[in-house]
Amino acid sequence: MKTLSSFSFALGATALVAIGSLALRAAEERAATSVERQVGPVRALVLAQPFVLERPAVHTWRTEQPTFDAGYLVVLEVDPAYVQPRQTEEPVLYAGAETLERVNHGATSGRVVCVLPSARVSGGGPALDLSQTTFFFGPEALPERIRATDAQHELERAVRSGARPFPRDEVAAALARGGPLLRLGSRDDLDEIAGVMILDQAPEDQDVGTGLLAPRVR
Amino acid sequence: MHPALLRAALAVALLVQVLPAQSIVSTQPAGPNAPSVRRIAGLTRLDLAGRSLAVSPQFEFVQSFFEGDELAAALDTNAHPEWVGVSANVYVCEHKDEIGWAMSPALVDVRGSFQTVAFVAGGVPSNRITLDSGFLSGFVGGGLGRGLDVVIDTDGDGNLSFGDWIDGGAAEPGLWLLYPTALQGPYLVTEVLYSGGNFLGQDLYYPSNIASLGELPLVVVSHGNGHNYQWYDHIGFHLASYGYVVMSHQNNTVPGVVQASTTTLTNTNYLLGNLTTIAGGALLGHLDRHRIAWIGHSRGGEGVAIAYDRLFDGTYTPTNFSISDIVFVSSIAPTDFQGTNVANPHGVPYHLWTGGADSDVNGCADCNLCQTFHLHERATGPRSSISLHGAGHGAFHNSNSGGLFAAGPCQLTRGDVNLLMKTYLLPLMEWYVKGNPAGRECLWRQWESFHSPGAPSSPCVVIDLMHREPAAGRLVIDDFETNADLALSSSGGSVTYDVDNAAAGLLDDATTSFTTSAADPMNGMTFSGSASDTTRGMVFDWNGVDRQIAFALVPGLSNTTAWDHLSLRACQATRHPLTTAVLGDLDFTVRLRDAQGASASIRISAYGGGIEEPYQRTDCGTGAGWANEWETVRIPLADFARVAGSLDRTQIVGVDLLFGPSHGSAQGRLGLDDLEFVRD
Repeated sequence: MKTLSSFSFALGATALVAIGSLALRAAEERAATSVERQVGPVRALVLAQPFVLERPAVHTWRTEQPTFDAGYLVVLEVDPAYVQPRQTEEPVLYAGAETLERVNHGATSGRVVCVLPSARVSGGGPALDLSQTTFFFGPEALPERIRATDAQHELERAVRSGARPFPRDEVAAALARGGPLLRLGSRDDLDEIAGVMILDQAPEDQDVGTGLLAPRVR
Repeated sequence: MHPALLRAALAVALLVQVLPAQSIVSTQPAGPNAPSVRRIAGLTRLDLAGRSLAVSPQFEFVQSFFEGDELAAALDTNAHPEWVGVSANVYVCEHKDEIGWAMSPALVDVRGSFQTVAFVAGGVPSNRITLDSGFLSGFVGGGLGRGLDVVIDTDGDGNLSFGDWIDGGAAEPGLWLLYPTALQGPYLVTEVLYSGGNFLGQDLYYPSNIASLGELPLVVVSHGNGHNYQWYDHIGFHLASYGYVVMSHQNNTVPGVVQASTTTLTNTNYLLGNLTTIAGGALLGHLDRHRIAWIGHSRGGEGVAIAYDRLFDGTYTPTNFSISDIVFVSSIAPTDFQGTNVANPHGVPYHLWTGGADSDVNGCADCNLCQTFHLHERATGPRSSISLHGAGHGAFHNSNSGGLFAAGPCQLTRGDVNLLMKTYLLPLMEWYVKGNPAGRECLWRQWESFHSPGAPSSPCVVIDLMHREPAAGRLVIDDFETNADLALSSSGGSVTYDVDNAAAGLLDDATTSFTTSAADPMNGMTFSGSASDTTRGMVFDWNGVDRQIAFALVPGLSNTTAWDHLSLRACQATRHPLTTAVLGDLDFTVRLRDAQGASASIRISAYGGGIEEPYQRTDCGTGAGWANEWETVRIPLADFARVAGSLDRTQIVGVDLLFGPSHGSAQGRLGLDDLEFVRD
């Protein structure tokens, strides 16, 4: 098992600044984000960090594998029963009609750090309005087998079942915790941010976090 | 010829031909500037090294021994009566090939001195000698196996010379003495953790002195879902300490197995393309990119097979390696999401690990994608398998932060499973990746009688092995793949039987549980996962009376002298009343018959172990006993001739399997497949 201290030297300067402020903010506010909503297995939007990427990344969690250059790193609080890792199919986590990339498992804490791809506002940040986005678990499946039409179908089914977006104030608070738009070079930089977020939010996934923070080969 | 007569003949020959004892039989070219070397003529080559057995055939000629084992030899004075009444010096020497012996024929015994043996009548049982009681070292530095030759110095001149008898002394030694594979190897290991970017996190292990070790094979480890690439230290440190480069990588398993296969491919490609920068360039010039093995765990275990299939199909083209560079694929408790045409290792040498207590990829009849054996059965090339009772899914990695995912009795600890993996992994890799035959027998000899010192030895350690040679190394009598009629073997010979409830078909449980049922003769079988999987076999039982299955051999199979073993694979039928009646190894007898009516019979238990009882795990229906666990049984063909000297191995007409009180276990129900002659 490796410790974070041996890796942090390799982080880029931009990422370091972002990570530092992010970790501090998250640590301060983690206690304040106690779960008050129990409307389903996706219990709370803890944190939302908007980002844009200079070089687009591939969203491998959907059959079409779309590219994206904007989105959110979000921390969700979920029912841990839904994110127990196993080799068979797992419940798929959606945000609207898009699959979320779960970066860690969160099987103990219920805190899951996710990448949520989004279209990009010209010259700005992600176009997706989180206050209009429903987060929900769909049926067990392999995300790589889910097409856009499947995701849309699951969204409609979830809405019919009563799933709704998080309240605007909760979204606003999560965005405030996330902080201002991060302008990153590539998906690799996003991984470093996610790694720190995981160490902070879901310490049981320490190996995932440290793994993401491994020194970059330059 | 009697040795005394042999010596006299030699003396005459010397006088007449004025030849040196090392007479010229050939000249070995060894490069443009190499001196011509003359091989030693007149040597008799035969198997001498082996181990004593408690029952007939009393002795097994084997090639591999672990350090600490008794090392024995035997001479069959029934086959070689000229030796009766003769004494000779027996040497155990460091192995040399023919050229090596010709250049340096002096017999130097590694034990300090030779032993003088007086051979007597009575064949092998009366002429078994202990060569070493476990004091010799098998340590050879990197790699595996100290090669030794056993020599009977007929003329007592202290040199290997005309008329001497030798086991070994050619391309392969007479025996391999193995350093305990449970122990770390000789090299210090350097571990480096780094990332090349998104899903290119890698944990690298290599010998710290790699600069002096030439080009080393690469082993790539692809973890499973919920696992982490830093959880395979046991594999990395162990193999690197024996001279391998191991790279465990971040594997994109959560979206699915196809994405996992992509990260196996991209990480292999990335490492090979960035040798100048990774680990400060330590691997540059020291990685053999043409000897790459892939090991995957669970979803990653399927992922490595898919990755190979993508190379095979040409749907993925790496820039830094090609399909021919992947020489071995091994799956630990793999899933089977993608089915026959995608999760398919094709002809690459393939290996499978299965944990009996796995509660994740659990093997139950109700979960097709959880049955590990599908990929193994799809492999068309040489293949091997190890099943470990009591091993949970998470016991195959080394992190205590991941759960064991185990269910069932007598569970093994993660430490036990890690150690068992190391014990078996080294000979596995040495054979399939390096072509080193020293530990080859570890892949098929019964675990009960042959495994590394230091391996966990609790009663809960129960291990079953399957092993299949490449096509050129097999002569199939019946693999049940063709000729659906039980009365006709797949090789075209007639089959007669009086066993009860015989049936043949796909080795696939027809229901969703392991509950025994007369309506489901293939209960407990998990070899076939879909309609396009084709592995077929036979099931039958017997109860308190003697029964048999007689396979008549077609003329093309009758000369067995070119083959080393009779091989079959078998399993007990889980939860069947005739299985649960007596929980333990099941025993039966194999008989060979020749055209003159001579026959020879050997019990399979003679070599240690039998057909193991199913792991006594409950759930998946009513009763106790998990999926049917197949294992390979091999009997040396030469042993049949030794048991009955009149047996003519050039004219074998039938192979009979004999069951019942006179031949082994009084009752039982078995699955049977792949009855064949094999060449090691």
